[in-house]
Amino acid sequence: MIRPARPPTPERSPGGHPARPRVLVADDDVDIRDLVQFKLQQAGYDVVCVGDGLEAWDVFVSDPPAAMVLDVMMPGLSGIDVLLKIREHSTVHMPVLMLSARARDVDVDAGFAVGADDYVVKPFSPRELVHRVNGILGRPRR
Amino acid sequence: MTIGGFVAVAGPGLAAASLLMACAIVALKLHRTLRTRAWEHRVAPLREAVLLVATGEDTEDGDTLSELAGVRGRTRRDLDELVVRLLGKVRGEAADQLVELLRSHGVLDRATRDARSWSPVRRERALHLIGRCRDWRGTDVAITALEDRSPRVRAQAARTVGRIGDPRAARPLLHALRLEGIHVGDAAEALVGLGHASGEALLWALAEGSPRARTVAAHLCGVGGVRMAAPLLVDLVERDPDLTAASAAVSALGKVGRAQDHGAIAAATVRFHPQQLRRAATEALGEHGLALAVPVLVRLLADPTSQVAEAAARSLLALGPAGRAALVEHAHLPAAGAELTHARLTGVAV
Repeated sequence: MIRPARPPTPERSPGGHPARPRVLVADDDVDIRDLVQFKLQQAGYDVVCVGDGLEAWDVFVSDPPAAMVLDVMMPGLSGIDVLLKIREHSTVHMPVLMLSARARDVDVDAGFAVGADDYVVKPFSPRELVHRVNGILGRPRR
Repeated sequence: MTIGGFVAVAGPGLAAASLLMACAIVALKLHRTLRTRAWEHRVAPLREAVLLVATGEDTEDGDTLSELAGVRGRTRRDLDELVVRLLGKVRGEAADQLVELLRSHGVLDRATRDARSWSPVRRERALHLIGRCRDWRGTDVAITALEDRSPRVRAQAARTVGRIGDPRAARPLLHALRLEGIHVGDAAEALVGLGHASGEALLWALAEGSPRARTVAAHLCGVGGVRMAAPLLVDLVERDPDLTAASAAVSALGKVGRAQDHGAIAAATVRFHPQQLRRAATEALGEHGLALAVPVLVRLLADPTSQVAEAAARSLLALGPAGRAALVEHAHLPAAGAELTHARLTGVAV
């Protein structure tokens, strides 16, 4: 059983104020990574970006974020594979949002079936994505 | 000449040709990589401003948009390329802002001109861009392109009219299905994009369209619940020489048929019809949902064609208590027994 090195609880800055929650964005498309990163940063998140599933898994194990945004089709490990590994090995519930071009009902069902907390289809609305990330983190909507 | 002799004679020539081809491929890849890197370098200073617009974070007055609209020369071309790339990845307000930027740069006017270019590649690209921008002013040019001499351009035109969503394109799109190039799936998706207003065009296609148009129209009438199509669908089931269109019609009739259409569906299950039509009709009886279908389906449980017998078992299960009782009563028949086992395993009460 893999336990993340640190629990993904809200961090605190040295001054004792709640720090910006850290979100991991995994997508092999640099434009999508930039769009999501930019929007989430504007919404008050710290964002870490990676380009494939293996890197996403490494970040999860070494320094777990507060939430993850995973593309489904990625080199190395797919988003579904990463999510399966997380749900299989982790003792802590990691909020995960799948962001995918796969829009058929069966694809969305598959995402939820392996434990996604939410599923957003590409092309996506950046504004909606922030609301969904807020939702899986239980944050008030802007 | 032996194989060894052939290799001895042609070997050096083949090796040189292979080497030349490998060099050409490497050079091409290198050229593309360098070109992309140079482009990325040039657009890097603009990227943050574009992201600001593409994520809907621009000021209420649209300061960043105005600033980007004023970019000139080569930088403008690079910027437009970036905007088009991002346009396929976002929707909603963010996409509208990007389209506004392209419009201010005259990109859409250029695309409308390019859609009439002599080059099929240029026409296809232009239509792709018009579709991405969902620019209603491109409707006429896209409708014209549905009859383009290039199948690839016609296929792109079908996707473009679906994205724009102007219902005027429905009938031309269905009419264009008589030509090669437009995939029926793309056409169906595009027609769904055109909304309910395409209903009249669907009825036209059922009555006068090509076989592929009749198939797509029948499918969409079923999925979209176009009940007024029922008489035309009955006509197709009974008389259409095209098997795919007739099968699509009987499936649609299962969804939107009236009580009096039961006879037409049941008649399509009889043995002298092709298997594809019989199977579709058997499934349609289950969807149609009348208890009248139970005796017909019970008879089909013993059909020598296993796909028809299995479809009959599924339909009986879908028919509610009367169908399920009949299925249990005939559990000794392989198709009925298998369906009952499957239903119990998946938690369906029988």
